[in-house]
Amino acid sequence: MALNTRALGNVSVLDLQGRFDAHIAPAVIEWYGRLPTAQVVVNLAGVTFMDSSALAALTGGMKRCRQRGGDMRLYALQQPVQVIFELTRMYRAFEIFATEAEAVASFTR
Amino acid sequence: MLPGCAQVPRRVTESTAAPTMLRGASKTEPSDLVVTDGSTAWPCSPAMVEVCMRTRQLQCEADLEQMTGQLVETQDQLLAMYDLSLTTRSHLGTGETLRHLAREVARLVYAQGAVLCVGPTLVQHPADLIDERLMSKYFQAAEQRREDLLLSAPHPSLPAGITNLCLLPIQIRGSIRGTLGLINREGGFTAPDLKLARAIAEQAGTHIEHAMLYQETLDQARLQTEMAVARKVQLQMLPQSRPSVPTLDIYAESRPALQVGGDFYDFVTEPDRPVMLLLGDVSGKGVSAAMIMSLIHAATRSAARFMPDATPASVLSRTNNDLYDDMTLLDAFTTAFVAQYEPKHGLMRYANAGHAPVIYRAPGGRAQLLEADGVPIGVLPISLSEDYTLDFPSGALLVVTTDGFSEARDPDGAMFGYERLLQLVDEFADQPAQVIAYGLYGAVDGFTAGQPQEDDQTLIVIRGIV
Repeated sequence: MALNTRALGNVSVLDLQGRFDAHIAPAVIEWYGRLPTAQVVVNLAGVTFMDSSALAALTGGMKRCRQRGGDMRLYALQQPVQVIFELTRMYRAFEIFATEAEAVASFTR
Repeated sequence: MLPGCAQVPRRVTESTAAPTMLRGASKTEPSDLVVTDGSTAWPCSPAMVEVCMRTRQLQCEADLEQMTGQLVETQDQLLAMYDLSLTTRSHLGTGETLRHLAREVARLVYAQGAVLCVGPTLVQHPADLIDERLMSKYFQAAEQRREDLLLSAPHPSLPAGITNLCLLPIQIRGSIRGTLGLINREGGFTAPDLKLARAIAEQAGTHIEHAMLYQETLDQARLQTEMAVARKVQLQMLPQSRPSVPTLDIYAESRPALQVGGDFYDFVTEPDRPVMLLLGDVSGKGVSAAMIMSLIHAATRSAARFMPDATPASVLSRTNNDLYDDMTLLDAFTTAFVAQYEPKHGLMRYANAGHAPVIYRAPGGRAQLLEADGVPIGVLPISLSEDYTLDFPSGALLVVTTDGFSEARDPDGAMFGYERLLQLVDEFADQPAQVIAYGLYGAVDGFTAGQPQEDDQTLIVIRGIV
């Protein structure tokens, strides 16, 4: 699992690759503590598997951002991840987009 | 030749031949010998030769005595090392071993005291010999240099009262992870002292490795015992019997993946209330998931028992309200399924907070997944789950499992999946609830082919009966 972060203006982008599970979730939660902004976009294009620890880590990030007046938005969910979001109805809690441009632009709406 | 004896022939002109000449007196007269004393030489009289031989004999005796002393000392040290090895073996804990080694090494090297540092643990003998913070700095320096270090007064970094200090890095498990410090050897550390200290430091490394291994084994055994107790407690919190409902055949079981787990199920039966069943799966695994599970299990059960006119959706909503803040602090959520059976109308009312898989099979129909409508408990400040109703006559089947079934993997990494579960439910549909449950567990066990169970596997099977 690879974790990379970058900034697009006021938006922090988190790029994730591979299997997103209990092994990487603590690193993602730890990253929230260093967030310069409350506007976060998570790139899930490279994520092939996600377990409940990963979902909890994303939920924690979404809550932190909303508490600070921002939000965490997701984009490019692959089919296995999309299934998890549908079964758990997590798509009702997150704003999900197809592309990075749409996700980033959503903060300026 | 003994080292001390070699000095005497050098005083003879034909130094290397001299001992032979002295022994072969028949060929050479003693008066022919010339003894040098600086630049002056004179012929030796028999008396002088006698004196010379006597002096040499005394010198040899002194050398022999010195050598014997050294041999005795070396033997003592070897015995001491052997003794150290034997006695250290009887000390099992890391701290105890370090204290014993510090005491013994100080005694063997005739130092005033010794300090041993391994990781965060620092012990000294005698106690309070030197400031621990200061000693830690010396140890850091020695470990960075990766070689023995000898400091003698006057030295700017030595505190008052310390005349000499010997620092010896100790290799543990393949790298420098500790240091032995010897303090105040009267007369200074000699080469044999340092050689002995180095040997002890190396032996100490082995003893410390053994002690650490013992400690780890002990910790592991303690942890396993505690986990076994925790599992027992957790299993005690699950229902010890199934509710007796004349028109339902019920079976439930939970198999945690790691001793304790984050799954729970329960049945709530109160007088004059329809029976309610609860099943939840806390995100994550292990002890933290188990602790959160206890919290949410208690909250859900309490809501189901005491809320006026409780319905599955109202139980989930109340639980979400009660625990949302806690779940936020803990970075966790819980998927949950709650159902309520009304025998009078043959109906099963349910609400689903992000839980899957839930399988329903109408009599004579095909098994189908009942998808959730609400998000899991703890995700949003309000619950989005609503009540739904199923016909539940004789032959109807409801199978609620946790994702430990659907996400179980075979040796190649393939997941068990929902399709296999649905097929199995169709296959076993006419069997008693317990047989269906055993069938599901057996199928998953066969699929994983002995792979370690990755997630908790919990299920409730309910069949409508006449």
